Amino acid sequence: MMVRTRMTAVRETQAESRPPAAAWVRPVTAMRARVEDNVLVGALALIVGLLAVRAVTANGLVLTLVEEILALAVLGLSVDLLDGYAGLVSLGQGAFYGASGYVAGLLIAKAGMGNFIAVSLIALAAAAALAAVVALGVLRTSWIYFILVTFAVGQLLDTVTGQYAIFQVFGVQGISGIGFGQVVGGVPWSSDGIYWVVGVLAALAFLIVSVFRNSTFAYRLQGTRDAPVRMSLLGYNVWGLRWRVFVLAGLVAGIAGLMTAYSQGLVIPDNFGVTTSAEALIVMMIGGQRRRLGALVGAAIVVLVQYYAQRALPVSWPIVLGVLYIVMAFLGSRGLAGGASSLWNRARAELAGSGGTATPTGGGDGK
Amino acid sequence: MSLFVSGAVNGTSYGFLLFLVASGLTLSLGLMRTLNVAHGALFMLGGYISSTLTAAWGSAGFIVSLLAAGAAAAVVSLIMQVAVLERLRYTLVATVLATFGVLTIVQTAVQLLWGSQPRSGAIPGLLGGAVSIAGERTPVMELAAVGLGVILGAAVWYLTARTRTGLMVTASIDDGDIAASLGVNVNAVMRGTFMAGSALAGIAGAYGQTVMGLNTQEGLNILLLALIVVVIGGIGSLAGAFIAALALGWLNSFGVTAFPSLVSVVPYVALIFVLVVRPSGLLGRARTRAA
Repeated sequence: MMVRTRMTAVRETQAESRPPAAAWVRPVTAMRARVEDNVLVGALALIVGLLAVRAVTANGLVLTLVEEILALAVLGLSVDLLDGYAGLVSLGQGAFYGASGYVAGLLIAKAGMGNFIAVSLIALAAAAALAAVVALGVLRTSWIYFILVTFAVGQLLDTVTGQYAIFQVFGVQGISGIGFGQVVGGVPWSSDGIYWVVGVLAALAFLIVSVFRNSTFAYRLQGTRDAPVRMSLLGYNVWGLRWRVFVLAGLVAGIAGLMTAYSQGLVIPDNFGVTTSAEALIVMMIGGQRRRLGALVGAAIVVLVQYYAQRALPVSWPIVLGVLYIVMAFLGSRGLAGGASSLWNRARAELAGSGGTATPTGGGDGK
Repeated sequence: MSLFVSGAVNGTSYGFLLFLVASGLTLSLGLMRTLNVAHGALFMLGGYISSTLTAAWGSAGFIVSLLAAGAAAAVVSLIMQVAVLERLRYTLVATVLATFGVLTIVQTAVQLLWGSQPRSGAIPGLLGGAVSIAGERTPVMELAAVGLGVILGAAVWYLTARTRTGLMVTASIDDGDIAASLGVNVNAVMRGTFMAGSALAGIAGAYGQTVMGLNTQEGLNILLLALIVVVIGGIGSLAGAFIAALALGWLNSFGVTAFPSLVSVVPYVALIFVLVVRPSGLLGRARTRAA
């Protein structure tokens, strides 16, 4: 009960800090807030967007790019769960991203399983379970040690899967041929089938994050991020909260890993490594903290820049990516979406004729 | 016995190489409280510069390349620091991303200049022979790492422990705000330390190519090993880095004969073990202050 009141108070404070708006704006704003708080909106909007893309084109290349963007966006959400809410910067989300894909690959290639639902559930459970175990170690550390240890966990799995022939399938070439006879109920595992499987997994991840961000759990976590000592004095189990969000982030990263595995039909050791984790981090950086739409925008920018740079400069394209990383580092923690939304707030204040009180766009309060 | 001797020499040599790369990293991590991912790229860059100079001018080229690799690494790091890191005010995530960008750029530039195929290093005549230690023929090449490590390690130790500049560095690592309020120019200390640390990575790379060969992916590998050394030793502690580097070197060289299939996971297991038992590293102090 008490927490509810506090949540309401937080919302009210946020509402108060907004610039006063003209009378006609207010109902619109209220509606927007209601819509935004509805947990289903993000997932539904995503499905509608995917329908729209599919209606416009059936081009396999476009669909694959969309799938790639969705997977990277979901991995970005996973990083944001840790960084945006708990203040823990992970450079090792690739570990869980790789784990789910590899488990799915092993179940299909070695255990001969052909049931899409069963394989997906086991793979996701494996990613979450791995996160639950890894959390026991990495959460003993904080600050930069946390980055380094998560980094090492991802690289360890990258090395192990790349160098050891466990189950006779590991190696630099990874596991290929990930796919099923059918999705469910006779729907074929075709380019369209994969598109919708990936889309539904993305919607699931967005739904999880939406439910999470409206929960008391998310508010408590932000408490542990901003004032861990105070939270523990108030009787909250700071370690327990962090452990739970780490497992949740592992699960979401696992969803992203499955999306990539299904989309490409292939998993490679690199999925575990730092390149994957750094891409997820940059998605969050571009998208801004705690923004679902931002993650999509960030992923779209990274994937499309990479795709076009690779086409234009077959050899030297990583330089373009390097420059993008450096430029995006200057965005701070609010990201492009944050910048755009302060612009919108300012524009609205201008419209309302109250000018001058708009929230400053600021250079970001990165940490 | 002979296996033991060659293992010990090999491990010591590898340990000193790791120490050279890690010593710069531990100081800059301690000072800036953020991670410079590009550190490993400077090691790799130094290796390529050295192999080209050595191939062209032999032993003289190798000696020159030690200096050239150090200078090139220092210049790259100064540009990176002034143009990017200082403007980002060393914020954690932004620095990791920006330096990852620099790593990508340096790696691609090296691939464009020297090709992306891994190749064997250029060994100067100076390091070509072998000497006998306890009845065991030991390549001079491996002993050179110990020599280089002792000379540079002693220089670093002298600078940090016995000079006024070193005191300023140590004070800034301990508490940058207090050091600044006492008149230490922390920004200048950071620039100097960062350049010196990068130069050490470049020099280590120039030597490293003779024993390890050349590979554009080596930047990330060596960074990871150096980070493990730094974290095991405790961030900001040179002595800790030295102990950890030697320990990893020996574990690696004896591991190759004792448990060859597990040797590449040894560093990670060591890291996890140390962090579970002692999260702040062997000689590090627990930090309560958030960055």
